[in-house]
Amino acid sequence: MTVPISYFLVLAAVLFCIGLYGVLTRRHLVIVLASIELMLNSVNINLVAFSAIGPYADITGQVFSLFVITVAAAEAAVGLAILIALYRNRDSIDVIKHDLLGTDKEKSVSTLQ
Amino acid sequence: MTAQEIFFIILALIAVTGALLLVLLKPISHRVVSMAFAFMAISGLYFLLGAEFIGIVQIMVYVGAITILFVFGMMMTEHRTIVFERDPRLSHQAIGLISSVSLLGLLIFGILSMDLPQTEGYVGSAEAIGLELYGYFFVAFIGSAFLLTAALIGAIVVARKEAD
Amino acid sequence: MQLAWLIPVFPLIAFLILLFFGRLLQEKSAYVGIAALALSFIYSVLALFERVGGETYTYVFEWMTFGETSLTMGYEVTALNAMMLIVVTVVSLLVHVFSREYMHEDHRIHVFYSYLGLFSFSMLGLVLAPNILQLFIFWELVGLCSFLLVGFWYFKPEAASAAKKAFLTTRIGDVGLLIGLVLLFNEVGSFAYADIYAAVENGMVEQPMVTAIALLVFLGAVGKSAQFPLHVWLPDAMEGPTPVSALIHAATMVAAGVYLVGVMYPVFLASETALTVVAYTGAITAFFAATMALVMTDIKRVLAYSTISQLGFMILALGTAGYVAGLFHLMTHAFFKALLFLGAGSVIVAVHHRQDISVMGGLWSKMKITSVTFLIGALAIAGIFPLAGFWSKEEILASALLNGNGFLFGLALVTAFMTAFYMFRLFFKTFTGDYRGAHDDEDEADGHGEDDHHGEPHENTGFMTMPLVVLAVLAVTAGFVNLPFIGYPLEGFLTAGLNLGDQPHGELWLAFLSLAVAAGGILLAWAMYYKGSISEDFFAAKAPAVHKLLLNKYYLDELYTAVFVKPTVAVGRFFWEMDKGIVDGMVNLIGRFTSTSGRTFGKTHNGQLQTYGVVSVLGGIVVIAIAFVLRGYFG
Repeated sequence: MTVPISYFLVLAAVLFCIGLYGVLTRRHLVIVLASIELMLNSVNINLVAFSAIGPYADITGQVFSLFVITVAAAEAAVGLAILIALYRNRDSIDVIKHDLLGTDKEKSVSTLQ
Repeated sequence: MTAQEIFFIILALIAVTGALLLVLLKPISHRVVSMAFAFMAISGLYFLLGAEFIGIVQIMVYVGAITILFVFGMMMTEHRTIVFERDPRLSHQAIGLISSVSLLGLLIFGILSMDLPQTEGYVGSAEAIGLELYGYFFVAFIGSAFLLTAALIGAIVVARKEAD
Repeated sequence: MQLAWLIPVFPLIAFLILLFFGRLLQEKSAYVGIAALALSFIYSVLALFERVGGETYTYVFEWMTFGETSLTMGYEVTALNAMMLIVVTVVSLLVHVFSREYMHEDHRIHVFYSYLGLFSFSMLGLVLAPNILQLFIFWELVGLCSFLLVGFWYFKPEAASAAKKAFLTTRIGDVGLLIGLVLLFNEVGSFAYADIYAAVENGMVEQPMVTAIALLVFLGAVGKSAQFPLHVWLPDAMEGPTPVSALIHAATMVAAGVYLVGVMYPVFLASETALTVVAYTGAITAFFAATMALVMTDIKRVLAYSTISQLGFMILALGTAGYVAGLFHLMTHAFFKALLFLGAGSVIVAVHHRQDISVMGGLWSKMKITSVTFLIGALAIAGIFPLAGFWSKEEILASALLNGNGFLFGLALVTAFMTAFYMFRLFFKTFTGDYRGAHDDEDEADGHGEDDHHGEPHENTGFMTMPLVVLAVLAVTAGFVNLPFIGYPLEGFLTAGLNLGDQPHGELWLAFLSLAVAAGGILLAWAMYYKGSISEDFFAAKAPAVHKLLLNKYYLDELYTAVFVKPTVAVGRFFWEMDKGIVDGMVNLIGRFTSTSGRTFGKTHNGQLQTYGVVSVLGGIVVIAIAFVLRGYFG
């Protein structure tokens, strides 16, 4: 292997931070979920890269990435299900609209009805 | 520059571009497609690393299943160009960007200052993965099976319409 | 004597009864106090008789133990405190009786009697204490009671500030006493008198330390017994009810200081320096107080300065090794000063609660008993043969002459002359001539009519005159307990078992000299204030500056105000400002900072998931950055 492992790690870091930025700032709930998937993928890149060309190359990293994929799939399924239920109930896909935890209760109640 | 490096650079460019477009594009459908491209490029990276099984699983699960799931999610909500009113949280946007970038800087600084030895590629196989899964990680494997079942049922329960 | 502990308990019981049931008893509370003091008096007499025939009785029990030393409490009947018990209980009892009439108009009479009970309890406990720590506890109680009683009419601002002044001034002395006690305990390892005497006599304590202890203890006595320069509280304490003044001046408060010096006398004897300081303090106090008494026009203030002066005599006697002389004078003075004060109280009642002698006069024919008894008191304090004051004053002069020096003797002699003069100035102005108070009596003008307290002064009822008569008898006879002709019985009684050295006795010529001086003072007063052959303003006109100086009490109050009070107040104000500005400011700043930051960060709690996410990420970044720094990644 001629590609150094740091390349993969840097790539993973870049993807992770793009995903993080998406999670923190995008307003469309579907995109937020997609960004989370992107972050999980960047973690997978790390796992597989260490498994293949890390200092302690081993099959364990690949097994772990399989588990991550499993959990990510389950998360995506449940997350989208919640999203759809939320959309049906609140009639909005905007993250900003969903602030029932906030201190401004009157506004929240009005949007609930 | 070896062929591996060339392939890495191409795939990495596709992945980063796809990720950026996912975040930055306006129409939802375009975003989902760019996400699919990013996932595809990542599976290519797995092949490059000699982890064929994981690469295939990546294509099947992410590009196949999850992207389709997202397309459905998109279709069942507002998918035509939705116009949000002006974002009232300008400082929030700025802080999000700054924190992401600074985290990226810290991570890259840490990675580059790490002195990792260059090792020969380890080539895993589906057989080795299977042996590990049914051996050392058996309990976790069973657990993930339960997790998937629970997620399946939970997703159906949450998403179905209220029975009037 | 085993039952001597009951003596202070009776007034305490009276105090408790009046504390709880005083409101119900009202005027009858006087009888509770009188009964308690009568019992105390009877027990004191019994204790004295037993003590005369027997030995010192001491009972102590262990109070608390620290490591190897333990503190004891208990009571003790020595010769000295057997005498003191009699003096205190007699005067206190008579004051109780007298107050029944004097205070009967006051609706807080039960409070008054409960304070009196507590006061008597404290003083008796002080006298009975077998160790100096216990004495100190009762000492402070006495101070507290005097504060309560002087400020009894607390609604009068003068009374309130006089009470404060008395409390604070004596506190200065108390601090000295306390430091002295600590030093003493450090050196001797015990508070008990017997241990202290033994340690000092065996030379266990080094000479400079003895001097320091003696001077610090004496500072306590200076505060309590109103010696120069801490005497300023006593004249102001006249704002209290007159019976209280009698009690304070004769038996309790100020006697405590002299008693303290008496009881610690072996310590003083061990230090030449301390004795010298004591002697000079006494002489100077006696002289200055007497000069101030010459010009005062308030009947009670004259008596107050006379008390200070007489206390100075006692201290002078103690300072010149006249142990018996000082304590003898303490006893005789208690009787005739109580007599004078109660007489003054009687006069004040008769002239409708006015105290200025310039509006009195001519009371001789109107108040026979008061006048005669007051005359006896004045003669006694002036030192006329054969009254009590003569015997004790003669002994003081003897000790000042024999063990002191010419200066001390001269001061004492001049003071004796002035004493006779100002007492008879007071007497002549009050009781002879014409009544000067009738026409400017404002009470009459406002139409209340002729009731008991208006119009011409007249003699008071038996509750007031009976104590006067008893005290007059005592003022005549008290001196006989130490008659030279029968071998000084009091001296033998007091010094038995104590190693105090020889007591000084004067020659016959000294007795005549003292008598002549007293007679001279009386004659001068007679010439000026009765006969009028010398103008009343003769001396004032000759030396107006001196007169003014005396009238203003040597400007000592002003001096203290400028030197101590003002800076203290300024420092207090400074710290107050600092407290308000800096300490409170800091607390307020913290409070304001907390509430402001709470409000600010409360805004971030807006229910926006992504805001929470940003905050978490920022925190994570900080954690990572710190980890990097700690691991040295940044160099």
